[in-house]
Amino acid sequence: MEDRIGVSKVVGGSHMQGGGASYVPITGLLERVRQDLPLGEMVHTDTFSLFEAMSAVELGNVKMDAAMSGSCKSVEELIQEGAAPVEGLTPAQTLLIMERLLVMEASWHNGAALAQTVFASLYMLRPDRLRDNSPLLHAYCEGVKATCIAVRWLVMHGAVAEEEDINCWVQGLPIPDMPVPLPDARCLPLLDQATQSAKGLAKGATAPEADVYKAIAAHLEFRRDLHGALLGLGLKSEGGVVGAVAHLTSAQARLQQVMGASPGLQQQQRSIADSQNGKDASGAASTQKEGQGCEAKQQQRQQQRQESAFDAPGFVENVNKYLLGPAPPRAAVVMSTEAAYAYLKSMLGHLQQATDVMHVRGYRALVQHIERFARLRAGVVARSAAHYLIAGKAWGPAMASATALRQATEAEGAAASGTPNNSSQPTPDNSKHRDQAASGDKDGSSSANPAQDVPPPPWVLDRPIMSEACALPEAPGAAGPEADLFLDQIVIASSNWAQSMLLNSCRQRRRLRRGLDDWANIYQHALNADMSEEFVAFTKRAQWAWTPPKDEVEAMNEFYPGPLSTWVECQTAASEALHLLLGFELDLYQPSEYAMVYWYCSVLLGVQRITSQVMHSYRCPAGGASKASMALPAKPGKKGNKGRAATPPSPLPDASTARRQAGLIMDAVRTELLSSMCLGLVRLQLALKVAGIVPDPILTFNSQRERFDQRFAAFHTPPLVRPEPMGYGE
Amino acid sequence: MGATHDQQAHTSESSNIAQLKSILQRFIRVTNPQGRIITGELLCVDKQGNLVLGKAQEEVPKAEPRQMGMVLVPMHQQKNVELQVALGEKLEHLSLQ
Repeated sequence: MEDRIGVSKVVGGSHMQGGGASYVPITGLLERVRQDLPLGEMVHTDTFSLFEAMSAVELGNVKMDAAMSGSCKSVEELIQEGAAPVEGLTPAQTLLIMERLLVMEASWHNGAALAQTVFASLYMLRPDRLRDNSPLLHAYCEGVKATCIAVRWLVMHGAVAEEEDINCWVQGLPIPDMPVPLPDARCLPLLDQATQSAKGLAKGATAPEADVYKAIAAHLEFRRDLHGALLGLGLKSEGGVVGAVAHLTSAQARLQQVMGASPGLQQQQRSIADSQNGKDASGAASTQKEGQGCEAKQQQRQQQRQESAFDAPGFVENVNKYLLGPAPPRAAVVMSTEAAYAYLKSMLGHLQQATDVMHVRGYRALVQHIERFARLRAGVVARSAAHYLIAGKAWGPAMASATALRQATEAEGAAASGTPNNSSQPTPDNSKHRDQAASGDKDGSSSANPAQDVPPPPWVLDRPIMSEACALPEAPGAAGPEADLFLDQIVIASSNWAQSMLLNSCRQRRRLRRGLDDWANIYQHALNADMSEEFVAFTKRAQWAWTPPKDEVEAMNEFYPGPLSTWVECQTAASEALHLLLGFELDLYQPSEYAMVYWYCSVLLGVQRITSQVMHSYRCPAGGASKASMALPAKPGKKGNKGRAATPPSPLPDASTARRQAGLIMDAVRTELLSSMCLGLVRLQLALKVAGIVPDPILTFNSQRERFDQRFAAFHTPPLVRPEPMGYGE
Repeated sequence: MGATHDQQAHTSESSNIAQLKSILQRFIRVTNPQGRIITGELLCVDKQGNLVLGKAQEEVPKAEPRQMGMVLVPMHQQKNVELQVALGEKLEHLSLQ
């Protein structure tokens, strides 16, 4: 036995492939062991864990083992059998394949695996076969692949996608996995050339073939615009976003054209009309059908949709079943054509709204933009774009990737400048912006190494915007080291808050609650900064209307709130209120809890109002500018007095300070309004309770007080001290 | 006699189980009735004949092996189970059949 153990140490530990491995059958041994083992016993290694074994993939279980369904034919075998013909593809078939790829791409955006959707097409797996025989489809396939790379890049650098949102697994597919490849513009000239060809063919053909070629041209133009928009967003510059807006507008128009000529939608309408005719013809049959459960009908429709999704030439449902990864496979749910187009339309609209960030100036406007966008409940692609555009240095990879993309895009632009450019189209409004987006430069100027020198856009969540939010100077050291540390910390906290807001709604609420720990930590930094000598000296120089407290005891007193700690308290209260209000959207509360939740919301909104008013009273000049610097120079004296200083007039606030003060007033008014609404809802709940319409719940396991404490436990957890947590008795 | 028979039975139980213990953490190859081939480290065998394999991978014709991690192979999926051996120790392990 020792010899065997010694030999096993030498041999074991690797999968030997090919000629080096021999195998000895041990089926008999296993059978004998099975008989010898007492019931409930097992033979295992020392490090074996039953807990870990619970997550093992069970071979042969359809729910866990991806390779248990479908045929085992390889791509080459399927192609040899004629599953994806390249010669003799009619224009109608080409249009059908293009549309089906679009539907598959939409399905991928909504959670299905890439290997089960877009790359279930043999044409996508082997696009080079199309180069000579079907150049239009070849260009489209290259465009789809490039767009998938661009979307994956954006999603991974947007940092708000979760596994339930989108599946970014690409192992085994013709898309590089790691490092995540940069999106590029190489497919754009190919798409332009194909579009020209399609339009030329449309002119030379007669109806209905001419209409098909026009639809193909619309698909190609849509693809070009979508890819151009993604490239523009990836550049993360004002020029890039402007270009992206132009592309998105054009893409929306093309999508309408594509929908108008969609064979899938036309077939759907025909089938609806047929079923309607069938219903009229046999009333008895329709009555029987109505007797079927709704669920059964939906399942039937889903199955039909699933079968029809792979009806187009070249689509094989399980061609990539071995590439689905070790994780339990998710059933591929292919969207209907109608749902796919609806999704694409909404995605383009949401991307347009994400680009509104280029008009944002200041933290308050950025917060409003994020809150407005979060309420849209957009898909993962749009949310990723929105977060990517505002992510600052706290998200290092996003910034580095934007720089790399700018460099790569500029290099491609320089290389392509000597070649004939087929990209110019007679679309005067958009062509200029498209070229700007491709070159990544708003003014058209170029420098030797522009990517490194380009500062981040003004809307990015970074030190400049946060210093403006707290009326601190941006330059380090101007207000002391404690204030600098505070500024660094709030950049991180605000970045985390922005990311939380752009997650899917289920994770958003939980992440807001977890973010309260950050705000509690920031509050301590704010107190330290408020009490620091350098900061107090700075506020005096800048003539803030704030009387610093004499000592730490006074600093903790609510009548002597420091400006920075007041700002943090306001942000914390806003985060807590949002966390509570999201519970209604996610249907987490029972009707009997509405009153206490609305009551707590009104308290938090009241805190926001008071803190906004306090910050307004401090009259902090924006950017730390001193009011004294705005005084007039001294006038010469009349009776020989030399240089007698004239009395400076009362200083007027500059535009940014006036904007900040106005914003604080608006916030105070808005939160007062919302607080009143919440109190009104509380009174309504109480009235309904008194009227017996909403009866008191029967609480078997815990009391109302305990339920209150459980519901608001996150706000009572130390080290969170402000806003002051409210108890049940209050 | 009965006691002797029980002792002999106990000894033979031990030898089968001992033999199995000696090949734990060795690589084995499982072929299922559909012809799929899975190789992995033998981690556990139970009374029902289920095998737990670690670092499992599935051989895919004309493609890279598919990594599966930890796999449980039920009894009905075991058409053929083989132990991976070096050429030199093949004769030694023929007695395991």
